[in-house]
Amino acid sequence: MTPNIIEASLLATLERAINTALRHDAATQHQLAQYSGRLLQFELSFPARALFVLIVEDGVELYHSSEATADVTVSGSPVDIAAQLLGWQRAEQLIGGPLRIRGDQTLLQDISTIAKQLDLDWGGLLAPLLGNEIAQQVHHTGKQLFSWLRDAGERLLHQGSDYLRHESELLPSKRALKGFACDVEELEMATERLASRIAQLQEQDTP
Amino acid sequence: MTDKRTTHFGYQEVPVEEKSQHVAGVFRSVAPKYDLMNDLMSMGIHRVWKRLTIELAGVRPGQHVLDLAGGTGDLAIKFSRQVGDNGKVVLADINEAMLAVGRDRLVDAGCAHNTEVVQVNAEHLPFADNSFDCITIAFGLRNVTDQMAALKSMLRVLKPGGRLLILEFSKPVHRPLAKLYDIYSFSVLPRLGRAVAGDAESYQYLAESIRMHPDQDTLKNMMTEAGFGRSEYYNMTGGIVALHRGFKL
Repeated sequence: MTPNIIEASLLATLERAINTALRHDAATQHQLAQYSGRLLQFELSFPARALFVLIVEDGVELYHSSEATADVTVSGSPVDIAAQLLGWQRAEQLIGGPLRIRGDQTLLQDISTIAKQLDLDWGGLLAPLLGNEIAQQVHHTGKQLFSWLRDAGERLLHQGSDYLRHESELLPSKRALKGFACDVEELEMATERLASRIAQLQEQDTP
Repeated sequence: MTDKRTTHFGYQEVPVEEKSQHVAGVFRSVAPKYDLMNDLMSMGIHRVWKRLTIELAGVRPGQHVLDLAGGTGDLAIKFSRQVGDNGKVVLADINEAMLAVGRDRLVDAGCAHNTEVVQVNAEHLPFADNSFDCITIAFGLRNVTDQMAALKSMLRVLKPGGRLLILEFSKPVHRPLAKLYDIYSFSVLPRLGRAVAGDAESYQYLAESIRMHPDQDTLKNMMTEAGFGRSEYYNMTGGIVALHRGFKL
């Protein structure tokens, strides 16, 4: 591994953001601390990177590499992994890809449940900067804004998926894709049979 | 006439046996605000340098790690969490004031169960041969009087296959960066030290000691000479800092 200071800085920033969020949601932090010492590995398909999440007493530590064996390994795209962890509703076939999960699936389920419960206290976070009253206003507005953005995002993905699959037919339906995969498999088997037959005939033809 | 051996303490020449006392004085003075000053001086980048050190250390659960010149315990806390309940981390420093801060931080971080805090001289490590899987020394080697003796001592206590990681200020590889770095080190740093820690001299020493420290290739050769195999280094932030790694083969 060659050290990359930009990637390390990004990871440090992400770790800091997660831990700051956890510090402002004591219930979630306490629940997560019960899994202290457990290691999760995420193998991202794009960008092709590994991400290790070590759960510690006061939050998480993120690394690009680890010599330890992870308790659970999840492989897939960042969007699919985030959707799995945070319970986003995905538009099937549009962004949904297969997630490969190896190891302790119960642990992943538990962490996913905890992540979905994370209720960020924007008020507490911003109170030292803005004062209590303004911070509470920001907290409520922020919650509404995030809720709206999440709903809007899900609607956009669903409607985009419907348009691409049904109206413009740029993407195949799940059924059409399965049929195509079956045809490819059948063609592959037929080709193999033909190759074997030709080889057999050549053997017979040789004196 | 007495023939007194001398060594450098920043740009000053001092008797060999006095350097450790001078260094101790510096760190006793800066200990209470060491972390804050590190954040200010490096603009927080020292955390990224240390993060990369931890990743390259490749520590596994159950292993034994020695964090030399570990000061306030930044690395030791992370290693403690990586080695788990079956591993052990020794936080070691020559300076009792730094160790006191480090010990408190380890306890506060819930790492007391698998850590030990030991006051040691890196040139004469008080551990049995082949004791550790990994040794780290971050921003500490340049303060050691006899660096070769320290490297040999580290090699002795490493297990075969174990690795040493040295994170230390080094020589910038780009000339314009070197100029800027000089201005920062000798103009900004002492003023920052005076303003925050009330101690300009200690931060003047910091800048001087960095200039007197061996450059990347010299340190790599010293590691090889001390007996480390597969020695290599990685420049960070244009060579302002270098991470050296070597193995006991």
